[in-house]
Amino acid sequence: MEEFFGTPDEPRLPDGTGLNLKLIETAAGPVAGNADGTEQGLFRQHCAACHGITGDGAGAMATTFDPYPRDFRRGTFKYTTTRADAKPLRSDLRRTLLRGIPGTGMPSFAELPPEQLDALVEYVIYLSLRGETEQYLVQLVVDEGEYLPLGVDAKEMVLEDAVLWVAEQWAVVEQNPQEYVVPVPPRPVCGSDAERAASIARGKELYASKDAQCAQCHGPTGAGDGEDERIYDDWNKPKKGVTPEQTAKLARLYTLPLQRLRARDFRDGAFHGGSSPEDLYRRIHIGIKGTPMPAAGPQPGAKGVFTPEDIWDVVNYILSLSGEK
Amino acid sequence: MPNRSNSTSPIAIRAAHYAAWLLACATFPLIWMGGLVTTYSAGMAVPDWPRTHGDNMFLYPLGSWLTVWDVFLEHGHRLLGSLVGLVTIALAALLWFRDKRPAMWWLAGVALVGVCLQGVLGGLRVVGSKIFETEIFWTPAPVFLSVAAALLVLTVQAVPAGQSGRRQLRVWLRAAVVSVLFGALAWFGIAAVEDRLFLAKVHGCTAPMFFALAASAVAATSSRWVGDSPPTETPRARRIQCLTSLGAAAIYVQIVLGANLRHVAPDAAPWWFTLWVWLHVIVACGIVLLIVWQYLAARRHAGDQPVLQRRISLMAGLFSLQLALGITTWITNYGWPLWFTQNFVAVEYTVVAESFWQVLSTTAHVGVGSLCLATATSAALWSKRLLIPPSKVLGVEKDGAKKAQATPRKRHRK
Repeated sequence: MEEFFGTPDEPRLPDGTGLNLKLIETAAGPVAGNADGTEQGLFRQHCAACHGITGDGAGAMATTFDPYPRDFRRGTFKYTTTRADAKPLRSDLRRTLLRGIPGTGMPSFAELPPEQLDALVEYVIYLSLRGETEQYLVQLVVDEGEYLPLGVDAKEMVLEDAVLWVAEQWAVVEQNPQEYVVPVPPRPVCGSDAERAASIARGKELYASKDAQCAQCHGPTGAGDGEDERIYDDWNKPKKGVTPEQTAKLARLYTLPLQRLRARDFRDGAFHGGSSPEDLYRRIHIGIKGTPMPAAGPQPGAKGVFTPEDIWDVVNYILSLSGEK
Repeated sequence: MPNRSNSTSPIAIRAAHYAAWLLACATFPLIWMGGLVTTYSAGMAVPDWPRTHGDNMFLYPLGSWLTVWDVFLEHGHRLLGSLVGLVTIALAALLWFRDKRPAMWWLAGVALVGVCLQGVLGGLRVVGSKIFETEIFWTPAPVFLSVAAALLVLTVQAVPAGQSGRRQLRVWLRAAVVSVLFGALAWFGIAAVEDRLFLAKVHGCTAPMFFALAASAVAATSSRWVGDSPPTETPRARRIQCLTSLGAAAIYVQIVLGANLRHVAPDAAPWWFTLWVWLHVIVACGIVLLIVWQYLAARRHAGDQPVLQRRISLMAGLFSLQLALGITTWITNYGWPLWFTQNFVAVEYTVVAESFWQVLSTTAHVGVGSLCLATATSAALWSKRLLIPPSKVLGVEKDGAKKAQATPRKRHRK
């Protein structure tokens, strides 16, 4: 791992990842400043206290937050504009940095200069790439055991099957955004109150439908009190049923205790991924990656539970619960 | 024994009083500036010390200083620190050469050592991280062993010859226990130093103490303190003195906890932050109780001492402000707590890193914390000066006349 990715103080990258090492170096290492005002160690200054130095989401402040800070090692990011099976765009990560996540400890970094935001985005992708390679190696050891190839062959295999493969997943989205970004059609204009009420009524019906299963987690009235209360995201699922002794053994993987996920209470009108109608459209269409919130819109090779028109009706219904229009 | 207060020239006392005020007034913005340096993580904007980007600190070009915000903060903090150092020297000189009270000589000495120590700590905070991150002889195990072995050898060599076997065994055992204890102490010391943010924490905790020292100098050089105003006889004098001292100590403990909270290492185990937060909240509750208690006690039993009353009231007001700032600091840094938004009001609030309100509340929490300590220290000192148990005045206390001589009334009237 060190040969491929270096250390948190001196990061390194194998050829062909397409990442900008200069930006990564700006974000890595201890906090320092220069006479010209440029800064080093941005990740440690702004992010590491929550996300941890290695991006494992288990920084010193992690247990204070619900949900926990994101563990970048899975390469999964919740709020994106890309379809459910794709990596996010750099602009998605940048948007999260700029807007923060309302109602959580994730701050908005709107006060930072653009070049620092670019450096942080690149470093997050670097940590994610590193983390996914690490997980590949762990899985390889579990699967292959004593048949594990060693030496130069193993290095080549890891480079090809993990590092470059994951890097390709990131690159392909940037190169073909038209293929991976979910378009948001214009919101149908409700000319009168009656039209709006009809759209809301349709949305309510869709929300309660068996196919959509929204009410299962969000509750019949959207109060976040569905029958299925014990829901977990992908970061917590592996911890279910693990004894404290096992947790201790797997300390580096599961440093934080099991945490239940809370379905959104729509009456609050506060949404982690953004509260604009377009944000809500994307959440319903794409889902929230790494959580039980499914992608309900049409996906490549799948019709989806909702059509784009249905999604707008559901958006209108959800907004009506908090008195928004 | 000469009457030291009266033998000190009033002009000298007044000059020292002004110098003490100047010191306190210079130290307070210095603490704010230090708070801003930490809030903006600007400490390493000037990576060398005592020079500034290779230049003499006092000759650093004004243009370079004022154009980069982080450099402005860090270099400004150093310059303001130098000013505080100069004022401390002036105050120390006045107290040493013009004040006849030995306690004030000690205060001057401690202030001078304190300001030097704080300056060096600040410098080491910058350049020391490189020193302390190297393979210092600081690895705990060898230090533990060497200290333990050295103590063991020294102790055993001191055993007189010709002792009985049992007695020698006892000495050996005692030496072993002492060695282990000192070794453990050394181990803890080294472990603390190995904490990369240890110097930042010590630097952050020394500043409020120095500010409290400046406030003490202000109190002890005031005309009311050195004058003949009689203390109030009250049976609750001891209790109020105890409460005010305890209040100052508790506020300092709170400052230490706050420094640990502010300088928690990103690679520390996740439960550390939670631990510091809970301790900070619990001690805050304790301080509220102490302040209410001392406020009521002073109002009831020291009603004729407005100087003390004012300080205790001021502390109550400042601590109320500090509580509000603490809550604001939490919200502007970490958002509204989940229990609050789920059970009371759902607020769609997003924390904004380095926003005006985040910077202001966090830094003000640091500054007002120091002000609370200075006020509490002043209240504790004035309670000792202005209150006295009735039995002391009559000189019939159980401990005899020697204790009575130590009371303020005796001291000032003799």
